[in-house]
Amino acid sequence: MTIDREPPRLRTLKGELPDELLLALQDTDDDNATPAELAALVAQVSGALRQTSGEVKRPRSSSRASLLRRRVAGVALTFALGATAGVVGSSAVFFAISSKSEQPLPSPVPPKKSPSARLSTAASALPEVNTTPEPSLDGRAASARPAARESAQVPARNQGAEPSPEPSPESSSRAAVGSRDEFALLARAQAALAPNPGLALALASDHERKFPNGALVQERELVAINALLRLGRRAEASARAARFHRQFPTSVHGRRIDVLIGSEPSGVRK
Amino acid sequence: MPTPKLDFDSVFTDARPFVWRVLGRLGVARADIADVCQEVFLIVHRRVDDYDGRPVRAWCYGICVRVAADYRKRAHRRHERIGEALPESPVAADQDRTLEFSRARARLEQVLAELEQVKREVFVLYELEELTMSEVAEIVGCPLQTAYSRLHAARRVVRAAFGAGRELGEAP
Repeated sequence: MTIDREPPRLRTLKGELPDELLLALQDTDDDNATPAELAALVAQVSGALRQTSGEVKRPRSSSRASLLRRRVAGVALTFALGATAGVVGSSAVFFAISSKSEQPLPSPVPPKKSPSARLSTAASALPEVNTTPEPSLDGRAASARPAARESAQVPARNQGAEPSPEPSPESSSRAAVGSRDEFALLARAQAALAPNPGLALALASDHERKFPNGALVQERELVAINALLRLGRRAEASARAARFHRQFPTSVHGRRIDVLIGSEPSGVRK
Repeated sequence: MPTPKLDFDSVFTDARPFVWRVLGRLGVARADIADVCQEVFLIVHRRVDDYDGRPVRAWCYGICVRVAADYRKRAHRRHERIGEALPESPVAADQDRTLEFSRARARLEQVLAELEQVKREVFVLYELEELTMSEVAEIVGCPLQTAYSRLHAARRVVRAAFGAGRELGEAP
């Protein structure tokens, strides 16, 4: 065992390991969240922070247990809403976030109506809810979850303010948590990647126009580069990848983009 | 000495892709990743003022490792076999995923699920996340030498499970 020199990583030992192991160790998009999943996460965390924002000034000593209690409370509300998704209706569901990679996503319902209803937080939207499914981390409850999540999701950046009902170019401040319209648009682009890369690219351009400083700019670029490769437009993909690296030199997506550009077989079909 | 202040939004923006990824690699079932991610970021949010100035990525990874370990304990208490909680049919149907790859990954996941969590952590952080060993040791909170022992132990198990021989240079 050498301490001063790190051993080569197993995935680099081509020819020395069984193919199956090399394959299993490959860097793969399967491990990454899809843009839609990331968008859902943004909304979920924002919602949870909003739930707890009244408690943020709690004593620092707040224990893990109390954290869990707060978190679970938030999830409980989310679940409760999910249980009555039919009641809450489509206005609450802007985009179905798939918990599986690249599963086709239903088209988002344009958030035309009553912004205040859209903004209703889990807490304020609860009156009709009677049942509260077990709010644990338990994966078994997951089937009820995807539709449930977004119904309680509120971008934290908009705390106290209603989101604009129409997508419009965002202000220049970088919105770390983004808006629902932005999530919806990118979710559609992501969903279109496999069946219709041309559409995915168009939607990514749409995103670029409407959300030049959105929260999901990096994820959009990932979709766009992927789409270009799928369309066989390699030169453009490479140029865009180079631009990405210049713009976001420390991005965690950087390596993924290199993989996409460098090795077609793992993730890209012509 | 004053440590730099951290801004939650920027941590959240930069870290969420790798937090998501590493939680899955550490054994959090796909269906639970979003919730466990949320748990991580609530901790980040709560501790952002206590940030100690170490590299932000390492700091986040450290939180992930602890939360994933807790998750695994909870899953064990529920007598679940999280190692089998792999993506199901919708993903298998995904055009990009070959059957071969799915099988290889499932097999690796099974092997990792059987590993002690501390060994899995080192294996995942070094082999898949490609951190340096000193980063890994710092993140998991053990001496460098211990991290190496865990890495080699994990490698032995993984290689054996895939029918590969000993590591090069390793004593028979």
